[in-house]
Amino acid sequence: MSHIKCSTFKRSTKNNFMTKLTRLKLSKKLWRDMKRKAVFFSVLTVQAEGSDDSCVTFVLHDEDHTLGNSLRYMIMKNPEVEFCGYSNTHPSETKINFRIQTRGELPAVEPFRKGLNDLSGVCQHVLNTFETSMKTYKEQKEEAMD
Amino acid sequence: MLISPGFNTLLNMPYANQPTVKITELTDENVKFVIENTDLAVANSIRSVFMAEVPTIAIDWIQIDANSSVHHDEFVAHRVGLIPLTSDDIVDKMQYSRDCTCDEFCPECSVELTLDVRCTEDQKRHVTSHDLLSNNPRVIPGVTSWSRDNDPNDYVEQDNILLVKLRKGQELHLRAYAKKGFGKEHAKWNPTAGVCFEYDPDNALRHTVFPRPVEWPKSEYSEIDEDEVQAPYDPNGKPERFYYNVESCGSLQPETIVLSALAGLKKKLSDLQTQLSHEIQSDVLTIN
Repeated sequence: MSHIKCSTFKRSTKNNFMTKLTRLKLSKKLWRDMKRKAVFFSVLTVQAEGSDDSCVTFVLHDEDHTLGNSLRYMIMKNPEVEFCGYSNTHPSETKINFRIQTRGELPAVEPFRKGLNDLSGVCQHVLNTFETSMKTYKEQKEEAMD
Repeated sequence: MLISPGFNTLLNMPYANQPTVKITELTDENVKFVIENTDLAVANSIRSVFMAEVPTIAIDWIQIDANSSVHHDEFVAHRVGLIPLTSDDIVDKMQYSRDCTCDEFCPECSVELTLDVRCTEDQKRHVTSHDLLSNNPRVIPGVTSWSRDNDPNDYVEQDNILLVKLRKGQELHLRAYAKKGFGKEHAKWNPTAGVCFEYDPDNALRHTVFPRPVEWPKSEYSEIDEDEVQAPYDPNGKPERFYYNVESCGSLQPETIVLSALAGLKKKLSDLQTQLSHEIQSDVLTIN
């Protein structure tokens, strides 16, 4: 019997197979997401204007405000960026349109890449500070107990 | 493990803030901490990731062999799915079932659990999460606690979740597989019982307007005097300090939730970066 499982989220992009429903399935979302099996890419760029790369709308699949808002904040800090905004196309669809317009000739992917790097750096920093803080807290507790 | 890169990496990214984290309390169930010098957007994303994107293990496939209880099959299956399973060390090593190369289920992507209860006495038999038996001793229903780590046989009775009640002659027999997932897909994979998120406890930014400020109780993080109801308006202020209180439902230790969330957010960003470079390379840019 042929088995086809479905990739539901972008983090699992290999092997499209579908599971048979012969027993009770608790996760009904899996069925809705089967229709999404054609979407492998989590990013799809749609150029908005002319042959100029300075205005681009990125369509990010399986993303919501979690990534959208924080990325937008990071990219807006860049003085080369004239416009940066995002919106969800429809509340039932888990994708966002993320638009960047730059001043001058700078291609829009540049601030996008930079924003991703910066946000990644902030996350790493918070991770490290949290770990050190945890270590000091546990040491303090041990000292208090002794 | 994580090696602190120090100041150097952040010097290359002048727009990235250097947030500070201070843990104020850490217990088996809660972790309270404060993040400073970051922005509301990033702080909110972190809060959102705690609930929606931290992978845990929960039952997602049930075969019911016998159910003569008063509840219908789906009802029982729903309740069984919501039971928190201790996923502390295992969930990182497990694969998602949809990514696994095996046919249906294997130890790499799932944990098998069984429940077989028949009421033979005259009094009611309460079927609890204690009756759910797992083939992996590290993944059991209930609350992760340090006492469990010290002595696996020392199982404490207090955290039994009631599933169904059986009368004499009724039985419930089921087989289940628990899989890895995260809160976005279904709430059973949400490792938190709640995430408290607060900023600007004295309303100096006036992000909310109280009709009668005197009616509202003071926050535990409030920094103004007893007799003042609100801090004076600060038009140039920005949200700076964010107070979190992450309460775990039992599947993960609270500090694991935070660490896993931050690592997950980083991974999302790096996945996007790789995808972006692939898109640019393969030249999929369409020109209108």
